[in-house]
Amino acid sequence: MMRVGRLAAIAMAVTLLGAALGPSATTTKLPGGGVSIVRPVSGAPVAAIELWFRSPSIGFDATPKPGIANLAALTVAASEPLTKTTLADVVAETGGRFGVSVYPQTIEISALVPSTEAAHVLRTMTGVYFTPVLSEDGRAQALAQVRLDARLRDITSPYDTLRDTLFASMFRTGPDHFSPVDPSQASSITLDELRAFATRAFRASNATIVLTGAVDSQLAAAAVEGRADPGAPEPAVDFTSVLQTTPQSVTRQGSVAGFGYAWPGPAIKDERSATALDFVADYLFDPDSGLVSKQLEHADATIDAQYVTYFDPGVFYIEVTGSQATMARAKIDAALLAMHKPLDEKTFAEAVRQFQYHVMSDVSTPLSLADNFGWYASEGDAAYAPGADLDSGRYITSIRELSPKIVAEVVAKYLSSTPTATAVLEVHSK
Amino acid sequence: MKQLLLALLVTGFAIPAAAAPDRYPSTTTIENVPAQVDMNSALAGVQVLLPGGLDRQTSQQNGYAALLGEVVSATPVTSAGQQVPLRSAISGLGASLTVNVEPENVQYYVEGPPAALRTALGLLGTALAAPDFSPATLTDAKRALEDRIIDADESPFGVLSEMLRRAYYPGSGTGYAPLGSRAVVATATSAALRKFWSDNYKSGGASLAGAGRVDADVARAASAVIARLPAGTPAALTVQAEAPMDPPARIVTHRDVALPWVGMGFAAPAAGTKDFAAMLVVQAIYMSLGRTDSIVSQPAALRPINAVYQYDVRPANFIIYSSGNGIGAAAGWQLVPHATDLLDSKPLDPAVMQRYKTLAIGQFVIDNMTLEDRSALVGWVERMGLDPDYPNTVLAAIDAVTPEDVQRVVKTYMHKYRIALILPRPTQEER
Repeated sequence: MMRVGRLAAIAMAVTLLGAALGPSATTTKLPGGGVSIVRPVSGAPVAAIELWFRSPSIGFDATPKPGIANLAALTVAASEPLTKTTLADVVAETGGRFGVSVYPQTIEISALVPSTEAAHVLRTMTGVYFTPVLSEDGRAQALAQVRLDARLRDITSPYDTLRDTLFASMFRTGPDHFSPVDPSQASSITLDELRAFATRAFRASNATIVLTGAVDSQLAAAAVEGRADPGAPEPAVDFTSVLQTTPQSVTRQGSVAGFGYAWPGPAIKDERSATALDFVADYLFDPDSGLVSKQLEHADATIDAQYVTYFDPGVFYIEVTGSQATMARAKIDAALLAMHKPLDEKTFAEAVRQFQYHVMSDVSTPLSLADNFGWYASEGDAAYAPGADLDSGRYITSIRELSPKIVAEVVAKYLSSTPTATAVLEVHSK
Repeated sequence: MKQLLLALLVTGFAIPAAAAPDRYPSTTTIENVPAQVDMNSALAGVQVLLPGGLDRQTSQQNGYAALLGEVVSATPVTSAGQQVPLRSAISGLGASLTVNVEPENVQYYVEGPPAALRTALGLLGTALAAPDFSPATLTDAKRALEDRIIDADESPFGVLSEMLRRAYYPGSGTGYAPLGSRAVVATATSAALRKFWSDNYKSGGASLAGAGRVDADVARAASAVIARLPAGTPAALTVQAEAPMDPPARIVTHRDVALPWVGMGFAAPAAGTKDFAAMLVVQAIYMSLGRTDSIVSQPAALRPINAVYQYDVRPANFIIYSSGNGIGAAAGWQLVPHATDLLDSKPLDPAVMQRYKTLAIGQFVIDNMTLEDRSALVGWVERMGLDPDYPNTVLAAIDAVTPEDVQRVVKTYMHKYRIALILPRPTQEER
């Protein structure tokens, strides 16, 4: 009886939520709580399997523990489960790829595998995370991974140093103030603290499962149900990050020179403004076709810029690294100022076509499509995810509704000439 | 270490047996264009494959293939009433152009929504039929290519690969670095480049391949690109390989690397032969030696041992290489000859074989996943004269590989090799 009741509930959810996402994707309420989103894509026989949890990267306690979500997610992946083979090994044995990504308020566990292995990997992944086992050995491996990643970031990803600095400057408190992969306090986080975090964060009822590629809607049934939630609800978590009230400017040392700007942007529910800022990032800073990027084509200055659509607020950032980064600053300032006026119709139409193609290209592989679904679902609006519905859907519709005037108004509102945060990276002296 | 390896190769891991592999969309021919069609994709991709790859270059032309690709990309075309470089014009349509120089051809890949793609193919056809060899365009092209060569020279694997392939394909451009030599590019003249174009960019040697939302209109636009090329067929080429000998020859160079890099170059079976699938399994076995304790998957540069099977060229080759970190690591370089000896000595246990077959299938499908990968795969099958459904045939063939097949391939190919070494440049004090 219970089984039938659950199936009926699932069928209803498919009808209602599936309609919201368009005909290409199916959304289902899972028996253990949480949601699955299945978006089949024909093509190569591969499947992307992702598990997203909404949890603060600094933990649930009043005192922030920077990096605890990252360390806990890695510890679970490294600890030997009851089935004896770690999740990372299960994925590696399929010839697939396994990743853990942690953001200020979300955690992503991802696997890209041959489609024949999808059900096995999904069952293992949900089994491992919904009933997390954390061992001292797993914690030790996770700590080593955190340290290795931090060293690599320092050498190969000056962007990350800049981004962490910008976010730390722009947000006074809360998860967004801290680097999600901060290694500085990792060794002081105990196994008990990790277990407490994992028990609360990695629940089926707190999960979004995303399945894309050569998959069908039945695949979601391979997920394990997960443990029942405790009877008494856990205390509500204050996820709020508090913005600074005055512009901040900081200087840090790094392996290369650089600088960055950041501004708070609209919440995810303001789709028009969020899409407009995505458009601006693409038009000015796309690595191949961006207006400013092309001006710096032969310079030793590399730009990374995007609008990050968070629940509230989003963040627009621009980062430049390289020995000629300073030279880029005037060009960026001039380009942003020019965007306060509407683009001419011809330039705008061409830029929109480019943007629309970049969006479709960005979600053209199973993993990138799953990343987008997982991100937008975790931030509160899966139906707004690019790729939700082939070449239509709400995101693509919101692109088509942009106009030069709307873009100029959004730029004027959010991208003032004094960024909320400015960071300068100086080459550290050895 | 040897015991660990033995345990790995003999016991494997307990995993469920793989079901029959899922398949790629079957290749269909639309208006004479072979394609893996997905009408539920938002985008389509088309490869225009032309003679004019590495194999067509002499040592005095080492870089012409890539430079001509840059010239075509920079050739002004008329778009919305204005003359703009081809790449910008295609970008402005909401599509993209990528040029890849391969051993046996050069591939112009255009991707976009079908309507934009059709127009983009028309512009590409204009530029390919009449590239602009003017000094201004050539200067822009040289500058763009020089930036890319500088970046490519910083890749130790790229350097190792070129060293081994040049030795394997003596007297042919097949083994050259894809982007060529800076010195040759710097001195290339318009007249010399025009001759390279007229010798190679002919409709007789060209072919097409697609993937994604390819419809009849897209296919016709693609066919029109080739129809606009000068008539004729470039002279046929046969590349001879010089098999490695025992004891192995060593090739050494010095570069700005912190630690040494080492590569081993082998002969390898061609696609379509009975040993092809078994070689993919052998590749998976050697790749598995590079597994680390890392919790998450690591990029190739951070893996101690990697294996590359270059089967898109005839004769094919196989390279195993190790980064500076891997040579001295526990799962280090010595595992390679130990693994060869073990694999040669007796057939693998069937359960272990299943594990490596699963790995090989996984690596093949993940390496051939994007629209660009899949259209290149279709083009490769066509060029090699294989059955159009060969990508699926490969998956089934991997599933049918036996332990004896692996042993035979190891005995045939894995005992003779060349060694390439990249050593750190001596410091001032050491000179």
